[in-house]
Amino acid sequence: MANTQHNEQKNVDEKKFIEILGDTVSGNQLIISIILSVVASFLGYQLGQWVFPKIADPQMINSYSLLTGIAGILIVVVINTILFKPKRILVEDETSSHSLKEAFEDLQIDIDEEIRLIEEDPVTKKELEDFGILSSLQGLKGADKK
Amino acid sequence: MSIYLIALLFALLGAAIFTVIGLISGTDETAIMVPITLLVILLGAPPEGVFAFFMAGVLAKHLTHAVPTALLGIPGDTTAVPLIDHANTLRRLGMPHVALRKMISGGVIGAFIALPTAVLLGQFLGQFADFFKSSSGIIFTLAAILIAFFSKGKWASLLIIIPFAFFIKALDSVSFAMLDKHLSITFFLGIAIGPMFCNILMAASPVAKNDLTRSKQNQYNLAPETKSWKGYFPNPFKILSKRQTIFTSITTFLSSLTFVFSPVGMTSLMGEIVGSRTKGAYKKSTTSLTVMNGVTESTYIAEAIIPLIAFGIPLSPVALGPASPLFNAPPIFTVDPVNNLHTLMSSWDFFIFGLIGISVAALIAYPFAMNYARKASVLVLKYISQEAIVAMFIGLAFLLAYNEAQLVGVVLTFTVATVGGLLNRILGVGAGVQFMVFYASSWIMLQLFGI
Repeated sequence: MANTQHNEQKNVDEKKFIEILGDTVSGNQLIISIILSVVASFLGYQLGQWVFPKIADPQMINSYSLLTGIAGILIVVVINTILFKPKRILVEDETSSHSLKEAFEDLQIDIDEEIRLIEEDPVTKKELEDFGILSSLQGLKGADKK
Repeated sequence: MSIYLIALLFALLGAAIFTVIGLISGTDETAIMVPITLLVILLGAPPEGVFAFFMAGVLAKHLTHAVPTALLGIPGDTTAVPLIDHANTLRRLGMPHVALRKMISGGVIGAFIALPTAVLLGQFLGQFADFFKSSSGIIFTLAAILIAFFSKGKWASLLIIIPFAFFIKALDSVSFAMLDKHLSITFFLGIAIGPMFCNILMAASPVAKNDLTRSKQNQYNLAPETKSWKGYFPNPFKILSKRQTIFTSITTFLSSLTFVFSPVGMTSLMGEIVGSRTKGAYKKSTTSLTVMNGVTESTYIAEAIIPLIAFGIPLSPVALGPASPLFNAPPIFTVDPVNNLHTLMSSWDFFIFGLIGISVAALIAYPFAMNYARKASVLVLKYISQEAIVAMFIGLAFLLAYNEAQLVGVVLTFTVATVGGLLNRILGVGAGVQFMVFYASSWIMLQLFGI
């Protein structure tokens, strides 16, 4: 564990991440996890091939070995999850009426027009009321002109 | 144990596994559905169980992949890409939970409309099955040309059809010489994990690495959430307005009939049609999201079911991708001769076991996504590393390839993954094109070279 943390630290210092399937990972850690996973699936499968001929129907040996292989992989998933922490930054947003106004500006939506369209349609108005959003929207009325 | 109970258990299993997987964003449909479905088949599940598992998995995954799409603004997988703009609008307005609720309510409705529609259409098209089966070689080839032209790679995809068929046939001949049997799962897996494997290879090459190198970690902005209903199980019809329910019903019915087009294409098209008829940013985004997620679901389900019932050969983008093991998983299911769910189940069976599958998924994933979306995404983002996920899928591919043909299988899978993955990532030759060429390769080589 100490070693891993050291690696992580180093990676952060060097600021090098690799993007795989839309998420950032550390290259070295990825290689280690893949090797662990492949070895575990192989060992699990071989264990099945060794154990099951003694106790199971010959037809089912391969299927059962697949199961032991998966067991191996799942154990490694747990190990990998403990060893390697996600390389993501999680920011928890808070929406304030200030940021709401900014959002309308960014999206180039006319606030008054939007509120008018919502208020004209009773179904949508009721819906936003239930969600508790209507009042903060109405608070922005006329904000464009200011 | 009665077959209904078995199917129910498999549906529960599918729903549970894919509810969790759906939360992990950016996951590739084919790379995930194929190995896991293959496992279930090879482990000896009865056909009804396999089908219920698959249907439950598909719906559960789509319901929970709406969570990263709505709350984080990153597509849950490729089918969610067209929804991102509308989801982002609502997220910026501080209403990601509204986006999420609309999306998954639309998805549930879409699934329950698509199932009966697809079964009936499949039944109807079944009368032409003999024609399709007897001329499958040329149909696969024509379909490969069509799909290639409409893939991202366009002309490049067309140009590589013959070389890729040659490549497949060559690998087939070499492995046949070594093992005295034809392999198929190994080819499949190679195509499925290609894009993922290609990224790993690129990361390992100092020359190619630059494209993938990032100077900082990905940042995720997670929006706050509020709950607006009482109890555990919200009613989807109450979440949607009447207008949204009607639009979703019509579009999902229509899209269930167009089983040869890509789900992403249909989703964009229907979203555009409905969105352009709706005024106001809020109404437009919510209505589009509802309709689009419904359409994704219905196209997906129809594309898997119609070819299964009607032909027994994979003749749609979904049947060639995520649903491919239902057609071809030797030695249990084969395409030539057709011996798969098509021959083993009646249309009525498809309806009943499909219904078991989607009902179980709706009962598990729908309230889960409604109630625990935010908590679950925090958990996944904070504790599950991408390294562990990628490693798991490479491990699964290795295991399945080894099971089919030991070391030869493993080498073959990763050879196909290298070539297919690079073609996919660099030239835009999608997995659908590659699967189609794989099926067409025997016929193409027979016509060209007489072998």
